Amino acid sequence: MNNLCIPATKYTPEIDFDYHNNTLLLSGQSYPENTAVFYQPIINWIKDYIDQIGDQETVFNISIIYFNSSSSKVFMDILDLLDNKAKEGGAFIINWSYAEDDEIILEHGEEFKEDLEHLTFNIFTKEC
Amino acid sequence: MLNNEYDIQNASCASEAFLTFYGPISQELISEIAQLVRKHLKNKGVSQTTISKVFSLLIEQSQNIFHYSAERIENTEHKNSTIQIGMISVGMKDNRYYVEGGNLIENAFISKLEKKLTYVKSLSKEALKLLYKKQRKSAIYDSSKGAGLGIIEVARKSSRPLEFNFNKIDDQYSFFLIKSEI
Repeated sequence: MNNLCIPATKYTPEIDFDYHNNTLLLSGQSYPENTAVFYQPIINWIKDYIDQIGDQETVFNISIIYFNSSSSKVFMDILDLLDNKAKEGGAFIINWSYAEDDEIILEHGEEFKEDLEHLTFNIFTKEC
Repeated sequence: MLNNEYDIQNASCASEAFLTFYGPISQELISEIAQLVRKHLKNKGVSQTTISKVFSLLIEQSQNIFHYSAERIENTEHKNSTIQIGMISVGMKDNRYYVEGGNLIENAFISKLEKKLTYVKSLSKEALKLLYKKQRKSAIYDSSKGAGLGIIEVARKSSRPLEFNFNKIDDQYSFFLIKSEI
């Protein structure tokens, strides 16, 4: 399985999914023109990844500045996939980071955390 | 489609507007406007939370126009696609930031949209949060237009009840305006 790397644009985030090191990164802003078109390959990669990792631990770093409501739906879908895998025995650590003075991104993190049961969801501030 | 009776000054409270745009709304343009507004607010020393709210309202309302406006022109760069036309305005009134969006809508769609907006407007912050989370978990994903969360998100980010109206233009079209305040 290959790694997935997509550079950031003004309205899509950087994606750096490292299959060999079991680390995933999503960073930047997300309000694509067509959310489904942008995220479909990313969701497909996640599904393949889940099928192949067994019970190895995966760290998923999410460092987002802004995301729109349709991206929020996709993030939930992705996190649900990981949560379901965690239920069956996979181990996922989500590190959700937000700029210290940005309560909005903090709240978004808390709301995702509330809707997930089986994975570890950490929320912390980062240096601006 | 803005006419004399309902011109852009009326539509946008232009005297307090930091920025008003009426024309073809492309993704590229939305991005430029949003960055400009973010920079402007940062320079004015506005808090990060307020900046995030304005940014969010601006993107959601612009992308609504982009997905739903009934006024469109042919996109010369992509065959068989169109660019939607609409109005977006950001400014400050009575010490509150506002974001206003407007676009042409077919009269046939008004009652459905009005019903949804009236419902969302009636909900408390806590009820809006529950609706948002419920819809996010269960919505059937419409690949072209997002997840139906936009209006709920706009209501959640607003500090005051949404204001909206439909100004009839002719038998087929009306001009839809929605204003959110922070």
